[in-house]
Amino acid sequence: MAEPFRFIHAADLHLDSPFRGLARAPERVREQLAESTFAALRRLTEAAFDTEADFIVLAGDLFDAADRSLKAQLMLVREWERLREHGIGVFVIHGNHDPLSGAGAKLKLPDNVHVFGTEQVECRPAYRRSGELAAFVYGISYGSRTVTENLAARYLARPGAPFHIALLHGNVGGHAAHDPYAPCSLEELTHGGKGMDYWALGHIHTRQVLHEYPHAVYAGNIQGRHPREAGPKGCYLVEVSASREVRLTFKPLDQVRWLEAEVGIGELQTEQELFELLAAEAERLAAEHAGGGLMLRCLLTGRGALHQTLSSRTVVRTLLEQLQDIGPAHADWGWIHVYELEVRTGLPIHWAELEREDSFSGELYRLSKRLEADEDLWRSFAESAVGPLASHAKLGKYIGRALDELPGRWLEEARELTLGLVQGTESEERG
Amino acid sequence: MKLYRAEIDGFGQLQRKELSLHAPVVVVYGPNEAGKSTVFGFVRTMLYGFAKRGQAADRQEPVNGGRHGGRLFFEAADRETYVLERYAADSSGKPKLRLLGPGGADGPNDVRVLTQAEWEQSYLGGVGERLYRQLFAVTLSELQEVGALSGEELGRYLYQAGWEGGRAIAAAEKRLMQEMDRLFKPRGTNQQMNRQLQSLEQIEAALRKRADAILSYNEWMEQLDAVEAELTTAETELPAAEARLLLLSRACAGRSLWLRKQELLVERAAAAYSLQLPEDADKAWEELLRLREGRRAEADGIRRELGRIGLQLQEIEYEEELIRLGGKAEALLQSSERIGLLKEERTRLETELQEHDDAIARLAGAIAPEWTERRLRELRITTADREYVRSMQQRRLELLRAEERLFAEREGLKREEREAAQALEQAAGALAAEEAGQRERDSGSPFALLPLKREALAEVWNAADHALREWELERAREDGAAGAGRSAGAAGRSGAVALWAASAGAGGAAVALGAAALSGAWAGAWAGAWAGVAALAMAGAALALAALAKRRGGSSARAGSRAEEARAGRSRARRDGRGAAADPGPGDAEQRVRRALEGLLREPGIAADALLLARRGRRSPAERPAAAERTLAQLRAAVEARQESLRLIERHAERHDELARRRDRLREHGAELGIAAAAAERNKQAAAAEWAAWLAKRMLPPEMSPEAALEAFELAGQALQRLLQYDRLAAKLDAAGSQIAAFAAQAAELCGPLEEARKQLAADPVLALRLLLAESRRHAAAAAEERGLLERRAALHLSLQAAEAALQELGNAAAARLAAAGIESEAGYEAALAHRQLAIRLDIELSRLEPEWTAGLPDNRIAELEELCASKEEAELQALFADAEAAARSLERSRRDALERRGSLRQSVEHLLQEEEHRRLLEQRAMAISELEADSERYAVLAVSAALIRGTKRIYEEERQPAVLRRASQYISRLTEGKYIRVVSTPGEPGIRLETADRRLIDSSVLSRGTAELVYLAMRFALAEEAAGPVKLPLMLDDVFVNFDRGRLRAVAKLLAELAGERQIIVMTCHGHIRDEVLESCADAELVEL
Repeated sequence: MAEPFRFIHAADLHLDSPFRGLARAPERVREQLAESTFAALRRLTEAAFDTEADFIVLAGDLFDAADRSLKAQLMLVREWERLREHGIGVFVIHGNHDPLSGAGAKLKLPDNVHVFGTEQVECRPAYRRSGELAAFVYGISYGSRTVTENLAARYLARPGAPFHIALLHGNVGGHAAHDPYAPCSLEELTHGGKGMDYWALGHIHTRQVLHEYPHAVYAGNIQGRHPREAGPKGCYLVEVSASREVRLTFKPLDQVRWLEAEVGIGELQTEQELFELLAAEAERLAAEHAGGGLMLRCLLTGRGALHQTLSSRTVVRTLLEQLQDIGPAHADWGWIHVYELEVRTGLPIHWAELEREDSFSGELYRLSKRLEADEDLWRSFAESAVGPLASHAKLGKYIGRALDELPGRWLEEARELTLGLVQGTESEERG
Repeated sequence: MKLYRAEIDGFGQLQRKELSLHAPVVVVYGPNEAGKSTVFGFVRTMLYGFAKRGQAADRQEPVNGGRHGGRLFFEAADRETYVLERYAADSSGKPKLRLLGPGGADGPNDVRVLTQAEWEQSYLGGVGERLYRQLFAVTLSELQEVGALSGEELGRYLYQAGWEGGRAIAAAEKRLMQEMDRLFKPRGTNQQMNRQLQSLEQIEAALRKRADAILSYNEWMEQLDAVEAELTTAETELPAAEARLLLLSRACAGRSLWLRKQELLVERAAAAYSLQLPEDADKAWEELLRLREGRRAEADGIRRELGRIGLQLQEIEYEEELIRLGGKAEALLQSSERIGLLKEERTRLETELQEHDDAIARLAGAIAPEWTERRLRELRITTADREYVRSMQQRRLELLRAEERLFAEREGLKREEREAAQALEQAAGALAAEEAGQRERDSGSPFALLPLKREALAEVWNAADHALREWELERAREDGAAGAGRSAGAAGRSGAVALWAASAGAGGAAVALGAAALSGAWAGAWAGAWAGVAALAMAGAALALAALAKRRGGSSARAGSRAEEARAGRSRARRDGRGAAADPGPGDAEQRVRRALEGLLREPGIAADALLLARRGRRSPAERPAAAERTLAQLRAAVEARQESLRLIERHAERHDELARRRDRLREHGAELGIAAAAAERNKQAAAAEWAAWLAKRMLPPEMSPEAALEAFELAGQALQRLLQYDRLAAKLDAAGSQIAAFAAQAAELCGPLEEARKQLAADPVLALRLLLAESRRHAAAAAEERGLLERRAALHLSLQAAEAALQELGNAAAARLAAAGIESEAGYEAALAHRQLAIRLDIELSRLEPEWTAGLPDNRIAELEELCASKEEAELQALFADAEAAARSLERSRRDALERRGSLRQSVEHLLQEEEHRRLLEQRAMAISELEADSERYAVLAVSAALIRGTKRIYEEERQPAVLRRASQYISRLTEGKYIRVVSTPGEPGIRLETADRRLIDSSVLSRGTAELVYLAMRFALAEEAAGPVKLPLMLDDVFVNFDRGRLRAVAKLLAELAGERQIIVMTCHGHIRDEVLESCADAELVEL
């Protein structure tokens, strides 16, 4: 029988990472956003105190850029010093965003912190606050930005500890949407004879438990940084009982939360109705996620009479401004900022009829359907369509991935757009 | 869809028009303006609704009445028959649809109102209005419009005409391209994405250029450590150096003090002996000496005072007698003031007396010039006297008023009397005039009445009237059977009424002809109405006259003359009617009448004849002739006039009598008033005599009136008052004189002993008394001073003795002190005291020097300091001090430097930490990338959209368009009898071309007009066939064949016949040959003529 203990698993702190595309946000909001990763870091420390965690493991990407921000490093060291005062150990690996090759201030780290090196998988004992050995912690840091080697292969538990925790930064299971660094399969981790009890994973920002006993867990990042990192963000409190039973509890740490509200325009007739619906939704979300700041993106979907109105950019902009004007009705909501209002609505179109219709629209629809069905056809079609973009040398550097990917949503949006234009213009002329 | 019938309720120029369209080919024929185009428009409106009000040419509001709209019967694709109804005013022109039973009978009676979209979708195969106009409702202008197109336009037109929203597609493409161009161009610079790219590059360049903050940080942190070490060193060495510096500086500065201290210590040792004296010795000694000196001075002063008092006593002398007199004189002087006042009072009283005397004399004179003070004193005026005077005054007033009243009354009476006399005269005149008038009237009238009294006249008249009535009654009985004549008259009247109505009608007709004709016609009509049966012809003449007036407006004069004739007719008729009556003779009644008249009139015969004869010729009293009536009326008037005249005369006589009576009464009254006036005058004289007697008795002037007497009483009262005051004042004056005399006597008595006072006595006793009093007081003062001096001398003697005793005692005390100190002389004692003072002062100075010397130093340092001062010379000390100071300064400087450097380093580090620029750039970069991503995504969507449209168009061009062209080729080949065999359109190239039988390609723009129209007609047919869905809409052609020659026309007609198998065709034309050709070529064709 081993002693029960608890630790915190966090990853992808991305301290001081810049926020994207929010030039038009009010100063107050931008300040809050800029501070949010630090605030989340502070909350992490406090969470360790509150939950009386014995130690903390951080699975890479502590900083957003290889040339780490000085401020970020100082902040981190300060927080670690606070942890030391409470006797809480910290185990750290570096990931692709903050490889150890990056220029770093030679800050003296407190002695409760261990940063795993890049040469080999190290093993360090982790102790309970009361001094008993709790587990062995294994880990290896990225030496450079791109590590395509399967690091997991190097991990192997050593005898001598009641529990084994592996820190790994990488893409487990080959997610296409993420950089394929340190790729390995879940199978390898769980059934590869590694002898680990808990794989503390980092790199993928979406929180997920891949496997249990042994556990393979992505804690996700501690603070959402852009619209795609929506929802509550934080860390896992991992409680290991005397019988090595593992219990995971999510602890939200985020200071600013990104949310998306989808509203269907379906039966709505007037902009006022739409505005009221949106405002109500914003209020509901604000009440649901009380406490911090909310960055809200409103997505208008569905097909209905309002589509035509919403195709005017002025209308959408006005609507957005109106939404930005409404403040939270209760002070304890913190604040809410609607940063975007995306219109993905469509004309009220009867697809089945359109499919059969002997008309230009019908023909166009059938063409798009064929493209949708045939991946190769679509790729060649899309490649020729976006040729001017792809062939642009500088542009490719920034958006090359999307161009390589040629996402199907382009086709979907293009279909809506053209049908809307053709039929919209027609109805305008007829009206 | 097949049209059966069109029912136009109101549309353009057509109204309630029904057209049967029940045939595969319908030829609507009519000349220009017959309404072909209207029908064309009607069908379109029925299918697609009313045009907006702005488009009047298409909307075609009805100009000849009828509701705007109508009905269209048709067979739908489902083989059912419907009726479609649209009215502009109903449901805003929405289509209303009703299903009809087989053969056009009314089916289930449910009317559905559809939206246009539903209608188009369900019954028109989704063909919109634009497509309908372009394909199915073709006019020549549209066809020619096609002909005028060329090149790219033509291609687009073809394209548009073929499929819905052609223009919309072009617009959509354009919009997509515009937005894409705004976003990005591969080699552009100003497009949104190109700009973003540029700024992104700039940002990255800026980022690269920035110094690495981390390196700086590390470097500065190292420097900071070095500075910290330096600082530590400086801070540990500094205290010792500063302590030594302090000691040396003290030694340099304090060496003179130290020397002085040594001196003081030597001096103090010399004066130490005197410190055995008690602490307060010097003060006590001083006090003793001071007291001794004070006592000596006191004794000397007393002795000098005694000598001075002795001298003063020898000089004093005074007289007792004078002092005694002074008291009395003072008493008398106190009353002298009152005597002065009395003298003034006396003068004032004398003036006042004089004034009273004058006033009394003035008042007496005012009463009466001869009045004196004596008379005044004798005068006694009682209340009764005053009352008497007032009653006298009253009585005189009353008498005066009575006299005035009498005079006024008499004047009034005289005036009334005059007026009464005048009225009497007038009344007499009026009476005489009335009587004369009556006489005159009687003499002029045929019915002169007998001079009867009023009552008698009434009686006689009543009798005459009664007799006349009786006579009338008798006459009536005699005329029993006069029926025939009267009923004939009645019939004539009723006939006249009917005739009048007819004539009125004639007159009404004449009204319209003008004012002149009107008056004539009316005159005729009225004449006819009263003409009786015999005047019927005349009425007819009036009618004829009216007719005549109708033709000749100005013939009113003649109409008037006809009317005269009609009136003559009437009077003739009346004469005839009278001729039928019998002639009765005279009877008893008549006699009675004559008798009665005899009693009434002077000449009764004339009146009786006039009355009775006139009556005899008549058949009823209702038809009395005017003469008889007049006679009776005259007779009655004469009687009434006489009665009236008699009444007037009576009234005038009565008034005359009354006025005479009144004048007599007035005269009597005047005489009475004269007597009363005489009595009043006597009364007045008696009163005057009584008053004169009363005045004499009082010695008052006889001419005095009672008012004046009252005034005199008032004056006498005032004068008596004055007399009383005069007497009182005279008494006061006497009393004052005697008091003044007594005072003078007393003064003389007192002033006897003093010479000076005696001299003054005569002039002014008061002054004399004052002199006496002053002398007396001087003597009294001298006596008092002598007494004071004696007392003072005794007191001084006592004081002198006490002072001498105290002196003795003090001398003893001083001797005792000397003995105690062991000092022989007083001078020695005083020297010891001075030494003691010096020793104390030295002690104080030493105690002051000590802290200055040792301030703030611990004991061991003090010892060190003493050592230094004792062992080193001044110059040596100075050199040591300079060295220590230099060492301390250098240490301090290096410390300050280190601090400064540390501060600046820390600030730099802080600055580095706060540095926002890097972060800002990173943010900008992130932002630019995200914008770029968003824009490129949008661009991609736009590009895909454009590609989709292009792809669809290509499908059309490649798959659909050739079908149209193939079909068009067949048609054109047939229509041109093989001259042209193919229509060609190359994808990507605008326009269409024709291929001739000999394989030449001819561009459509160079074709002749007729051929071009033929080509486009063929194209339309082909497009219609190709584009149409399940519903075959009827094809309407509005005179589009006019440019075809006979051969081509026939070919077209044959093609129509063929096409009509599947689709109803309606051809509109105003050309006979076209009509005939189509009818001939199409077996099923039907003609509708407008």
